[in-house]
Amino acid sequence: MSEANRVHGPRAMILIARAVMLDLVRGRSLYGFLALMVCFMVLALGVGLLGMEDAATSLFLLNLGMTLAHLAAHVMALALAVRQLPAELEHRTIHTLLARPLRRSWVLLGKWAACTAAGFLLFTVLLGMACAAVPGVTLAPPEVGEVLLTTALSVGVLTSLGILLSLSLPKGLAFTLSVLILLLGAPSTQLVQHAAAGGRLYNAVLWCTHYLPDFSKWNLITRFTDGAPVLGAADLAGLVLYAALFMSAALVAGVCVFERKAI
Amino acid sequence: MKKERLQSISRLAVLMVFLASPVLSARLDPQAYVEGPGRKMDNTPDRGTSAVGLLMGELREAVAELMYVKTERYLHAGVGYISAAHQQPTVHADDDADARDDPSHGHHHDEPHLGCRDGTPTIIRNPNRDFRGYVGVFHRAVQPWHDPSVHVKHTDAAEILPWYRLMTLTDPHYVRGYVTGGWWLKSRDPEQALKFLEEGIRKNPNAFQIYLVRGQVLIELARRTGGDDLEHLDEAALAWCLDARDAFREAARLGIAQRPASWVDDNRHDDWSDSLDDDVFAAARMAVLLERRFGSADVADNLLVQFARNLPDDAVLARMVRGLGE
Repeated sequence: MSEANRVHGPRAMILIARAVMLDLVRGRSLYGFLALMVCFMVLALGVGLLGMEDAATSLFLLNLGMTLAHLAAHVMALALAVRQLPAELEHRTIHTLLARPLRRSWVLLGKWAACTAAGFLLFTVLLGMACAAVPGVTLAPPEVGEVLLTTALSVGVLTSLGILLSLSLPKGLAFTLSVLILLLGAPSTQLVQHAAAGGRLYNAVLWCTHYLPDFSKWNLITRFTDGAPVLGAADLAGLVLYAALFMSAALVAGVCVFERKAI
Repeated sequence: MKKERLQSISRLAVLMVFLASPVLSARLDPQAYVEGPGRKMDNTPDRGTSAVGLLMGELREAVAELMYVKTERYLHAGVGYISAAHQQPTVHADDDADARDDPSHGHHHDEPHLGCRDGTPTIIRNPNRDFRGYVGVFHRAVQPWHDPSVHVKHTDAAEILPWYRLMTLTDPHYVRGYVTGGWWLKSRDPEQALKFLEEGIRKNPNAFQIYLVRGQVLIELARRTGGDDLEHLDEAALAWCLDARDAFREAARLGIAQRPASWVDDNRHDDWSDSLDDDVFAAARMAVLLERRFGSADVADNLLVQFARNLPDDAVLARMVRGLGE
């Protein structure tokens, strides 16, 4: 194959990402989440029309809308991520894809990047809708910036985890397990830590529980609707590093599994 | 070959860095802030941290309340097998004499009615109409209800203790669950009761009623360790008594701080009640008495004056203050 025909890594990633985006636009889940947010907007505007416009109600609705957007973006991105490689394997389109001079790692990274970007874009749109539905209160631009950044990190970690699990588990199970980690990861680790408190193995248990990603660390929505200040640069850098550790570990593990997988 | 080796090393490096990640994770806590409407719920400082948390908090509080109602109903009327229509009989005055004399007491006895006990019809079906087989036989044999004419027939409540555990797990800020559960647990296993109440205090540091029951449990432990003779307490029993004194004092301090200022004048407030008032009085009196008995008389007198000033409507404290003058 001549150098001119060779598909380089970044370009391959973009091509794969474009295919994932097309898959998303053709599917129905995206429109389902948009419809859900429209329902929330109707509810929030209805509350406004009924005259419940005090600050506490507005903050509650804003928090509810942003949380809905946060959750919708995660679930949609995860649903997209866990079906990417299993679908390629199931429909045997992976053969066509890998017939090109592409490394498997680029395929995996391309799909991960596209799923993360899709989740982030959906969150941005839904966040705008939520804020528009509750006109009484707004977040300051730095707060919005931090929410967007941490949500992108959170979605990135979740999709990398979803892709890794989908390579070794059935799609449904990988999705369920990832959602459980997303929603119950922090409470269940706290429960385990609480149960182990005072025991001889407490420090070991405490250390091990930190290997489960705590998605609540990247959720700053309630922090800002509660009026707490924006995070400092060090804390923000810590959150970025924390996400980078999980993403890189999950992606490296995913690449290793995918490269060894018999197709 | 060199490229593959480099790749392996980089993957190994990622793995090693990830293995060290708990060091970072343990130090990151962006949710550690104290202000905000999600954190200012009365008596429930950590309950609601988001809109979803608030909604779920309401739900779990409701579930805990339902469990509490179940335990109360059990303590007062068995497990609720007595027909609701007969729990509060509505006999008209004209029919009163007839109703009393009527051996059927308003329901037909043309079939054997094993659910009728002490003149109390129950909702358990009689054998001829019971489709439940051995379950029905079991119910009729065990007869798990009390005679409602006996208002409260306290047992040691061993069978309802798991409900208190369950309701406090469902809602860790359900103070009543800790208070009542701890009180019942006291007579069976005071050390377990102490652990249960200390968990309640950790989760509800401002709930003065839990401190009060903790003091009562500590007194029970002292009584079990050293007997009823307060003159000859051993070291362990004395330590329990001193702990109890501190617990009562803390309960009184918190209770006085939480008692609405307007309560003395109008006795009406959404967040306060006569029973809470009684708890504060009890805590204050016990703190003074234990301080006088096991601590310093001067400190006890100062405490008494201070509590009496803050609780002017407590006749017992007022009498004790008068006793100081005499």
